[in-house]
Amino acid sequence: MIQAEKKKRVIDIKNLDMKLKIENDFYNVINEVSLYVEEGEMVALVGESGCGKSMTAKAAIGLQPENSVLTGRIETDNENLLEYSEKEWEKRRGKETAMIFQEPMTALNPLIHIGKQIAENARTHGADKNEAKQRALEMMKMVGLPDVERLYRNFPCQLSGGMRQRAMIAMALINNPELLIADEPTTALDVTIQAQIMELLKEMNEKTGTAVLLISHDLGVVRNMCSRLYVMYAGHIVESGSIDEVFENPMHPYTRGLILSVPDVTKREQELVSIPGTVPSLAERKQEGCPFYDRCERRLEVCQKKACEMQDVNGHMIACHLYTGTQKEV
Amino acid sequence: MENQKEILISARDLCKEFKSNGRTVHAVNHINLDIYKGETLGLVGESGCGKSTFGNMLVHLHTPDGGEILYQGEEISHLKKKELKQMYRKIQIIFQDPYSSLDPKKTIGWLIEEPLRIHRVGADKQERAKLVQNMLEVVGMDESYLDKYPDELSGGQRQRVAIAIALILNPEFVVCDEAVSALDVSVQAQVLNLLKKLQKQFSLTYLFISHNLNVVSYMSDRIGIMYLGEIVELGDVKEISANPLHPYGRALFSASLGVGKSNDSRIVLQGDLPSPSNPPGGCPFHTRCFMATEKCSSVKPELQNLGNGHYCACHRVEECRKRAEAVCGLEKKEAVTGIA
Repeated sequence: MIQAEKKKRVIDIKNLDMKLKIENDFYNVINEVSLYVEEGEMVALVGESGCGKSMTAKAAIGLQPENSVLTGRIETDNENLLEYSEKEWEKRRGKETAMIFQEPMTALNPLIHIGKQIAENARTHGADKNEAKQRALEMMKMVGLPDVERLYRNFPCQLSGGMRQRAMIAMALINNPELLIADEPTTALDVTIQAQIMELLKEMNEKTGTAVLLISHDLGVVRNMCSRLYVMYAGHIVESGSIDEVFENPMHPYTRGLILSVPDVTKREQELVSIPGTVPSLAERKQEGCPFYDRCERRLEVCQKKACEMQDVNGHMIACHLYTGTQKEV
Repeated sequence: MENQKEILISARDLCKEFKSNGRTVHAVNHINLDIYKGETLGLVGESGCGKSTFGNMLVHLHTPDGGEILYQGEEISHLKKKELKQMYRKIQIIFQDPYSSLDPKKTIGWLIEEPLRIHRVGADKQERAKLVQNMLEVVGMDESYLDKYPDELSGGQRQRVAIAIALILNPEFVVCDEAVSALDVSVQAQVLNLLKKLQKQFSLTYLFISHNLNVVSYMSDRIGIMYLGEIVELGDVKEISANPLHPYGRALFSASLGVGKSNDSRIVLQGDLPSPSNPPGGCPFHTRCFMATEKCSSVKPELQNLGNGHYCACHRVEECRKRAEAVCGLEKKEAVTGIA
């Protein structure tokens, strides 16, 4: 497909596989995952816990566990990031690609002043001491922290959860990265604070043009924040497309189950749709067939033996045999 | 019309304080609340607002510092040990974290049987075993789980076991304290369905505590909204979720995002939850309220009855009400984005 104006992809993951080595056995954590984020975009990666979302994010910033084996490609600027050495990663991490984590308390060093930690990221990427401090103060103001001069000399424990997450965002954005990976940034926060942080992320995305890959299990948040999404199940991407299309017309049985199982007041009189069973653990995962086979209520005979490839159906990509042709359901 | 419903448990002017480092935290501040038989009362609020402390007091895990708890008209907060044990058969609690609420060294069968042994229910081992098996079936598990240990189970299964333990003595009143918060969405739906089914089957009364508004509005008949140890709004679920009157309720509901459609009219509150050890004077919410006036910072609004069982503690409730009516007329067309 040739588009008139092709936007640059700040990250382009192609057929990424990750295996974890645990006691001489290899377990598949991520299977053939392909996803991209264009500049300035907000993209979501959703799925339940244990589906490999965080592992994908970690691989994208070179923080995969030591016992992992990665194959495939992660491209930016025509380079394969999988071939990067740790030295090259150190240059890239925090500059072109930045990340914020779920739990702001454990991600910050409790013994170093907040301001210094924010400035440190500028320092490591070439700014001198005064410049780094100035930029840190500016960033702190920009993310809505009050009384920045005083806060600069506060320790993380003196800040509330929401303020800590703001500090994390300031730290991540100080070098104006192309891509910000936000791994469940609001899960540990209260609803009203969550709204603040989400608003801030959206605002920063508009102001600085930093693309965001938002990893979340909260479909409500994703619905209101992002323009595209990828749905992940047991290490596979099973559906992707624009937010409105996927939410209004979810096709993969897993996506449908996920969206329909969110409770709300209008469903009071009915039983909630739920997906039987749970996400299989690494050891329980089958090597062949569709990863969702065991929990799927619309499975076909073919699903047991052969997983479906991602294909374009009515505008969004989906990996499900249901939409490939006429097959008998079992 | 409220007289028609039978009150099962009620809190009268209930208070609880915690002291730490010489400071006093008013976790629960003069709460009055009736819970009717057979209903589900949802309690929502942010962390630290005292909703769990309140729930714990009702099941006697905390002793109140003031006020009283009436169970079918009887004062139960200062019972003697023996009477208390009888009380425990009627009131039970399900906790948030099924990973830490089950003893890892005991089998599932042992865990579910424990309440029976303590309360000497069932004549002998066989009879108890039978009760345990029945209970397991009720929560949707089979007997193969009897000899398993909690760490062999998934989160959803553990929560089912926790439910089985809570229900095996046939209680009347169950506090669900964030009972599904640790679960994934698809599993959460399974457990919510189970809780609803069991409520019908055993005619249970629930106090459903959660910070997740979607879950609470799905489960509850009435909702109470708590802020800094106080109930600021209480009413029928349909009324509250469609048109919360209290500014805090409005902010909460607009911040909770559904999957239905994109919501552009969110109210984003400024600032953090004030420390409960040093709550602001006047209306506890005035520091973050987008409608606050002079009066709000000095005079504390009382929880007033607006009819139809709807209660709200706000000085500007009349304006809120007019606005709500106007919004209803306009079918929620207008957007409230700004913060005054």
